[in-house]
Amino acid sequence: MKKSTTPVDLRAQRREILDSRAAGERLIIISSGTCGQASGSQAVIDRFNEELEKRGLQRSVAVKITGCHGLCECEPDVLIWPEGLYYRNVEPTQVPLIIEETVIGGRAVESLLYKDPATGLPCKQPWDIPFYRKQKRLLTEKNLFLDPEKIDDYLAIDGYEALTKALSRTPEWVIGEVGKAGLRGRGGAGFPTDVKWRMCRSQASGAKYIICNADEGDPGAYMDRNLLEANPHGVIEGMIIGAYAIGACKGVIFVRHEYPLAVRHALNAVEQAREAGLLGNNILGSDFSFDIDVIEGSGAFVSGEETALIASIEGRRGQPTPKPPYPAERGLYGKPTVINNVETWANIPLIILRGWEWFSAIGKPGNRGTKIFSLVGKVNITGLVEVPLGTTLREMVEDIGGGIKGGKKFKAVQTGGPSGGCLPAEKLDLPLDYESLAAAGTIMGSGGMIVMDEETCMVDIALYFLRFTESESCGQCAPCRVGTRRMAEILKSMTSGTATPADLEELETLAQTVKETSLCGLGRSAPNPVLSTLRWFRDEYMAHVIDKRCPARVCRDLIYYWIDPKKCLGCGLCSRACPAGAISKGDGGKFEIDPAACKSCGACSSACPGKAKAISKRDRFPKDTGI
Amino acid sequence: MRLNIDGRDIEVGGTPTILAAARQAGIDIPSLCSHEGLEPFGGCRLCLVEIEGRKGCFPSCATPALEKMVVRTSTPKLVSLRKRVLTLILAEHPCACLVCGERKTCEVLKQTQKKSEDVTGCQHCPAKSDCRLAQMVEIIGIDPKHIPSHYRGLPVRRDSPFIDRDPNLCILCGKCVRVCSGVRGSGVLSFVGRGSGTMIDTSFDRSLPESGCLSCGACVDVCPTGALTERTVRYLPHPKRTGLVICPLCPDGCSMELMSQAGQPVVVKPAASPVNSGQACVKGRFLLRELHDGQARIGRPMVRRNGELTEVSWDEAFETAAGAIRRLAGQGSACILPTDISLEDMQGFIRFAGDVLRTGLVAASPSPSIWDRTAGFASENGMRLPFDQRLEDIDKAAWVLVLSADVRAMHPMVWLRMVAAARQGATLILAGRRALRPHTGRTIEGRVVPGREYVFLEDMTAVLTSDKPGTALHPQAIAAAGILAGGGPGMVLIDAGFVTGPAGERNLAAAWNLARLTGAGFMPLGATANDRGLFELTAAGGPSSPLVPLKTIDKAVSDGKVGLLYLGCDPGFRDFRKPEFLICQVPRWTRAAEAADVVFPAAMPYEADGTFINSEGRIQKSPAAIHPHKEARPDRKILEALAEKLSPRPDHNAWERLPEGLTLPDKAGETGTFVASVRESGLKSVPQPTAPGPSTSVPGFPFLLYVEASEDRFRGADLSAEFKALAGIRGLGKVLINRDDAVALDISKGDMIEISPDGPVMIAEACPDIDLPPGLLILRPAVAGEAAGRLPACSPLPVKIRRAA
Repeated sequence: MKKSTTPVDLRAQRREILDSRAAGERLIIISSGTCGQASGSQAVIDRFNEELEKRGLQRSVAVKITGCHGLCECEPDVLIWPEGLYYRNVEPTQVPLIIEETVIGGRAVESLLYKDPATGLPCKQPWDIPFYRKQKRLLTEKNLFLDPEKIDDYLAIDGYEALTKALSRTPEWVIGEVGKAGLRGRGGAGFPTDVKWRMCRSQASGAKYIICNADEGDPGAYMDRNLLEANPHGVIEGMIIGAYAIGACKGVIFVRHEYPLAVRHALNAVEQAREAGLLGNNILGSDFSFDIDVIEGSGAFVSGEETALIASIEGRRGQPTPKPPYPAERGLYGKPTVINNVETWANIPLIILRGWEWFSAIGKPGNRGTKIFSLVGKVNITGLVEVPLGTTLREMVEDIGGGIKGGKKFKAVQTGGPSGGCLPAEKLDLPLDYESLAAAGTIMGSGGMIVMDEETCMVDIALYFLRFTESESCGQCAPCRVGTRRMAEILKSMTSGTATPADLEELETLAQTVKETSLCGLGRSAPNPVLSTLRWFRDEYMAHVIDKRCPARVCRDLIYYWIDPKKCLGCGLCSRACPAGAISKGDGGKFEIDPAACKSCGACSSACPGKAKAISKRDRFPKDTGI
Repeated sequence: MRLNIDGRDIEVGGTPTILAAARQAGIDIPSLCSHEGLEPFGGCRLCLVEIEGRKGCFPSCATPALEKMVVRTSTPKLVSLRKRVLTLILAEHPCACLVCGERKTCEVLKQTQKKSEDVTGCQHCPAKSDCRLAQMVEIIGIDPKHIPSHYRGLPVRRDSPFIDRDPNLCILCGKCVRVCSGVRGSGVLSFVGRGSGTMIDTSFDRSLPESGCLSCGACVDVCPTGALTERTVRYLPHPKRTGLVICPLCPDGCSMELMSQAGQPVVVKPAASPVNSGQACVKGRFLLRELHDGQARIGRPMVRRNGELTEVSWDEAFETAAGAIRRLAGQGSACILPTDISLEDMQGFIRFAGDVLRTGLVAASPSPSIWDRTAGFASENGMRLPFDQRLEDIDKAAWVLVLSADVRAMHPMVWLRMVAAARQGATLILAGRRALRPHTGRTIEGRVVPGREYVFLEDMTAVLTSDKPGTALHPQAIAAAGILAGGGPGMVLIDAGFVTGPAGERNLAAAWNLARLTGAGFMPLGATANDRGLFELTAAGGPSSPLVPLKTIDKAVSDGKVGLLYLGCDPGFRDFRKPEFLICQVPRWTRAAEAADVVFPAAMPYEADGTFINSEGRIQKSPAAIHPHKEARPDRKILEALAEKLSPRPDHNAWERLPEGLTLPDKAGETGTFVASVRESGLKSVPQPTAPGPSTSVPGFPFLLYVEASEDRFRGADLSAEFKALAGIRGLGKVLINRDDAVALDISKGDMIEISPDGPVMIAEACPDIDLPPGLLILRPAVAGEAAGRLPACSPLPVKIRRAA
């Protein structure tokens, strides 16, 4: 990579790159992010290279390795360009067929195409797939054409053009654009980005810093990993523009150690940007100088909290400090610091390049632009979804997610990770924007979205999240350290059937106390899963506490397994599978489970042959008898 | 600034937090984790307040008060939240006694001795009545019904010689962590673990001493519960009396609260004086009490009869001594006085020697002091130094150059000022061979061979004056010179160890010239509690005749020219030949006292009124806090009584009166002008001597062995010889070796190595050290007495080493 010393240089380079690429070039695009690699993309890539070489096609056909394409269940997927044919779950053995049929023959391989679950019809191109059709992929669509390890690919799609534009204007203009676009922080709280920037800019201090928070830790969330893995230059460009606007001299990408590919790509991209003269002294001939360090987090959830993150970068224990002072006043090494999350930074080049008018036309008033969600749980199609803010939950779950798996009933959706809450079916038409979610008792968070069906127990879910925050609490303040533990204890007593109505009362009081008195956001939001489930699913709590019954039949202490004598074949597989020795042969050759001995492990149910399906769950304490 | 708290309009100065502003106005907000001088933590959540116009609750300890702010500290909501938070705090702390209805009647039992290790209630807690958590329960009140029990059930840690840690009583307020890193610069204690497994511990679960704990006791003093306690406290009765004394164990002059019961010191705690603001070190905090009694303390006068020292009455002892003094009047006499006693007592010794013994052979031990050396150096160069730098000047420095072997251990209050300066962004430049890094802040380390520190200093000067172009300069000196050139007030600290030895003169000149060049403050640090005092006493016309250096008496005694020697301390002579008659006047047994003909039991400094002058020239009165042990008497009283026996004169009792001229300039404190002394006219640079430094290695003996004697002394006696715990903290008994050298010789930590000079072989435990220059060994002997006699006389000594079988 040649060093560009002026915007003209950079444009000349881009032209060179584009000229070297023949129009209508045939591309084989293979998704190979962390998810793709876990599904075996490397073997597919190797096989493509091998087969192309065998046929002498390695010069005329290019294999492009990209980050994730978003549709998780189809990984590794392969896209053949320029036709745009989309093949799902490609295995190495299918590679010769794809080359013969599609690359050479120009025909689609029917069997590898995605089939619309609703109609059963094959979808040739990605935009035919309902999952993609309903999205607005501003940030993630670029992933298709970017090899994250190559700066050329980013330059080819007008990369760093936003930076040259920003550098030709004043920092105030940049902040103004971001403000008029209405961009709000994508890390969770939705704080207006320009306000934060302006606060930092107005501080009288020689050194200022910016930080990209890529310490994504919510269970089931992977938006930031994806962006950093698939398009690191997009994030870096956003950071350089932000640094210019704020007057920062140094930036840090704080990324989880558990994201090795993201770390590698970020390090590589920073190095490339430095070589290209986009980081360092006098960027593109301006008098603005800026550089970026990549720092790995050590695996504490609380380090995603701004002040704890700063402590962690400084080499101290990742533990929050009281605010104020806010990082914009006194942050990293005591200097004014702006911390934005990966997705916020990634939005900046779009806004600058395409203008605030364009950006502010997306979404709804007060909630502009798109938001990436990781849609997981009991939906038919899971994946990374980018939609305009204000899209309803129903569109997410039913249209994009393709409804609930196995034809079961929707019960709840959990947004915002351990800091968020659960929303019930009656809230399906809630628009996904910061205010509506907050009013319903949950948060946008960084974009985690877990869909739950009727077989999910909401008390159990609350317990799951409380256990997470309990073990991830830094231990600094008593409300969070002891309060979350105590709440988890009470929830556990509910799921074991030992709770009393007084416990329920204590749980509510405790949740309020922890929410109001904790030191940092982790503690203050930790009770949200409890408070929101109490708000929307109170009857389920009452069933656990009063009736000792788990309506979803999940809590093991409240159920036992039962063999329907009418269906039992008498094969005895269940008896052999039972670790507790609770199953014996009764009268008439049918097997019976002793409820007193049953540990509710479900081994018998799994062992029961499919044609019989004689074993089901029953309430241990039926409602009429009670205890 | 005006604000309104709980409906009261108050006016406060400065930029306080809401908590501080409220306390100024006499409004108490409950809190457990805030502490003056420590960074706000905001962890206990008891000090939450509401602020008009803002949503939610704010920790008043961490929220700055603002003009016109309206704060409420005890709304019904806050009271209820506080109760609930306290309930959660008590979940992890044994609290049966705190909620017991009978707790008032038990209060008296709390004062008693505790034998049980497991603390299940206040009854067994070593914190006794001094528990901040119990106070909070009284103030806030709790509902005993809803306290969950999360008792940790962990073993009590007793890995430090002085400090017990009971993690079961810890409420994680983090005060100990903050004082350890922020104030002491140690960073030994930290939070470990997460969630409910969070604890305060050392890194990697090492013992406190292994983690670098110097047992300063600061953590014990800030702990609001019984989680960190002084080991002995639980076994001792509750103290009833408190006296404020000056610690005599180092030149810093800390004020200590000596708490006693029935004439016995129970606890010695640091007081909040301008010198030590509530801080102390292991010697003052834990050893001062230990020095009071025990087998080594002498309780009654003794006289040698038939070769045995026998207890006698004071009168008999005086008669024996007076007889000997009269008898040996013609054979020459000499007197050695300590410099860690009060001015009055020192004056007593000097007057006694001059007026009664009528000898010119009077010396202080140790001598010459840094004050004699620097004043002598100045007068040789036609200057007079004002010595007017104060400890608080170090706070304001942008850089501090430290010329001391171990300032952290030997001048703990100076070290605290350095840590404070480093936290404000000052750079610490360390010329000694030992790396001393505060927990935060920037340091530049010279790592120079002992005795050749001038290399580092002269190179810094060379960089600053662009002298010596083209020569290879010490790389760290170049970095340090960059800091010095950056301007900003500087401070040069220099202690006695740095100006003794063959290169002492050159070191001193180099340090002085550097201070002149940069306009930095020049602050010598004394070696004993009152060596500055003796210097000022002499300057103010105290003694009639000047004192001689200690080695003059050493030589006179060895040459047999002294018939009677009167010792106020152990002189530390290498080969001590007892003169015909030896009188020892000391509070504790030493080698010299064991050989004496008459032993007078002297009082400890805190057993008599006295005056001390610390390194910064602060004159401090130290009143008697308890009665002298058994029959011990203050030094000057013994000397006066003996003088009365020999030549009754009316003015003997006037020895206690200090000369009128003894008032010291208080420039720095009064005018606030930093480095006034150096900018004063008449002070100039001096020609740099070029005397050779110590020899370098010799063929066949690739290493240079330096012996570093223990500096923890009281009246000449080595404290680390008596207190093994102190020897452990100081890392005595080990030989430091460069880590790469150790690796090359396959020596690892804890291995015994044979050190072979051109003489008898020594064996010591190896301690590899990354900061030590290669080819160097530093032996810090742990033993006094016989074994110490076998140590090499000269230092450095060329040696070869190998791992012992």
